[in-house]
Amino acid sequence: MTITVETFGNVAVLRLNGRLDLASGAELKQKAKDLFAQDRTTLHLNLAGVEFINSSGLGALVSTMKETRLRKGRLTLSNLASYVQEIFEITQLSHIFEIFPTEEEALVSNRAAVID
Amino acid sequence: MATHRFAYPSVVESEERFLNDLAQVAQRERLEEDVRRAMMLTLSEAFTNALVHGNRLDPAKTVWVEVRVDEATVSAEVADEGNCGLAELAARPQTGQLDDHGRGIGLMEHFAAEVVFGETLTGGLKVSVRFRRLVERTRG
Repeated sequence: MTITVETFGNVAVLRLNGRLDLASGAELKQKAKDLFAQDRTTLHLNLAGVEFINSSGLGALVSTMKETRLRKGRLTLSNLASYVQEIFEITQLSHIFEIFPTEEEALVSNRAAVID
Repeated sequence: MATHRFAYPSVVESEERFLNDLAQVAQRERLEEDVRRAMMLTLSEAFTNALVHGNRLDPAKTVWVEVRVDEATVSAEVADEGNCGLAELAARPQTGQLDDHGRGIGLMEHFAAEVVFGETLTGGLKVSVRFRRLVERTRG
């Protein structure tokens, strides 16, 4: 798994590529922790490159969301492949996360939240 | 029937090796895409469970995997060398929506045609799973 980070205003966009599992889930949590340490609490995860996810990967996403909420921040997701979307539906996590079709739409939503 | 056997030390790095080996099995056996995805996800759940809960990431302990493929089905077993067995499985708490663990068994039961939990002779957990292939489904 590779994770690249790019910032747009107050939003840190993390683009994930590869398998999101036990090892890479820990890597994701560490990246988020590093961003929190820089006072970045608005995170967006672009999952377009995620070819595989299991419950360990889902757990890392839930953990990151909880940490974000604890810091009064916001976590959004986008670009879920249909297979990944199906797993979110089965586990009912689609009701818990803010999921956008595209990264652009998530960023627009984040900008609107700042203006509000 | 083709049989593929693997053994891995209980370290986190084994997960990637296991998934790579499994992807190779799927390619070699020309598994259908939905069967491949179901097998990868289900067996990764069983594997991680064996690694973390069964063998408690003890590098001296092994996770054993056997995958059998024929025209109609893919069946597999994942066994650990721990001593948790069925008792710990039965005692697991219900998963809340915001828990960051506990979704693996539900996913396994969703994607596999059959999931059976048993114990090894030494008290470890053995998970047996089966998937139907397109050949069998179109006949049915």
